[in-house]
Amino acid sequence: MLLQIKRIVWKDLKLEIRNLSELGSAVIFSVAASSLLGFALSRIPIESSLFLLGTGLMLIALFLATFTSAMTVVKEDDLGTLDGIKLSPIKSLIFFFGKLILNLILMEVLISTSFVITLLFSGGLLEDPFYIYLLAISSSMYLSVISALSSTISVFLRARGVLMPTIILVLSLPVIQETLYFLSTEEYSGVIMIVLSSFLFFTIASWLARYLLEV
Amino acid sequence: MLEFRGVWKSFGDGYVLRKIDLILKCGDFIAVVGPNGSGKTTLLKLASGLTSPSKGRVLLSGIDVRKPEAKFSLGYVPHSPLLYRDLTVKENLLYYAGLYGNPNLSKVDELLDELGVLRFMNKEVSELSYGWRRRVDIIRALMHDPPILLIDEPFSGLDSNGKKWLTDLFLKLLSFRRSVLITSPRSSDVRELGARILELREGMLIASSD
Repeated sequence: MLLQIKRIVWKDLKLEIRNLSELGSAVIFSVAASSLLGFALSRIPIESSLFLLGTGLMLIALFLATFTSAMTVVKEDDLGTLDGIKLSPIKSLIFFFGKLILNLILMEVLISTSFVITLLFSGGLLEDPFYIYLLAISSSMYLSVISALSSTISVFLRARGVLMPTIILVLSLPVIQETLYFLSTEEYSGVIMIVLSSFLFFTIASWLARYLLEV
Repeated sequence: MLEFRGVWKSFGDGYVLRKIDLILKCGDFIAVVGPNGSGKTTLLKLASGLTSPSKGRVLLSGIDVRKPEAKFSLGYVPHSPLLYRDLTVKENLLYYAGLYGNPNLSKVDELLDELGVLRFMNKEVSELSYGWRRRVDIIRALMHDPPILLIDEPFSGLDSNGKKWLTDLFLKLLSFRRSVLITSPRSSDVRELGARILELREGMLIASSD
């Protein structure tokens, strides 16, 4: 099972790196957005910078979730290779895990890169960057689950260009609100709550994924 | 044994396939002919478990073809190859072999060599012509050594060498008691293969008059 998941993730990573379509857009977007965010942070009073940083990073994560959503199940469907998966004896859940892990890796790497770039451009004015970083990566973990789920749902429905970002936005709003609240309180329990929310959502998404390859 | 039991398939209002009864036994070679839009591809999709019948059942040794355990016994080659264009031939084949739990490198090399595709193994699929992509896709479908091979319009896009290659492959598979079900728009394309020819007419499967 683990070997099958590894093969799916490795194959998708190779495909993304070779043609650099969605991944290329995601990297350029995150670098540009985080540079601008860092520059804006360096120009405002330090007491307001925390909230702007949180909002900015959440916006970047939201956009990245849309990019990664387009890279997973939807892409297999567009390439016509989803039938190859359906023909094989692989379980839907394993296929979904493979796609989810890819989303998770890309989201965490891109959000971490965005965070570092923002800090560099802001002049390192933040008081507790480690706490903010934890909050950012736990929120992006949740968003990557949403992204994989929205990609799966979009395969079955038309108008995916409208549906994918809408599903991501609607399902992400509670966690965005939670993240921005915890940003101001600086409670580490906030990070744990977001990670727990991710796992809860992951359970729901995994249950739904059983129907992914059903004919 | 692959069996269609009173299968009907509809898309929207009209039925594409009507009351199909078909048995593909061990070592059988059947060619289904019919014009474009007659339901040949739908028939193969039903046989491979890629779509479900509106009425009736498609069984493989008594098991529904859509069940995961039936997938090991079927190799399906659609009209458009199921290959990743940005991966090499070898990467594609190893990936699919892995999905069947058989990431056997020597078996992949052996098949590539035997079927004349070894020289392309490190080329990306996007660099290959349609004919060669189809050959690689046929190898993909044979990787897990299925007893039943289903091919949609096998000779489409193949040159005379490719056609000879495929004819030899069919003969080899049949000599190993494998079953083959193919489709073709014209009976003239498959007449010399020695296959039992069935015709799809108005959604019904009938014995060809050829």
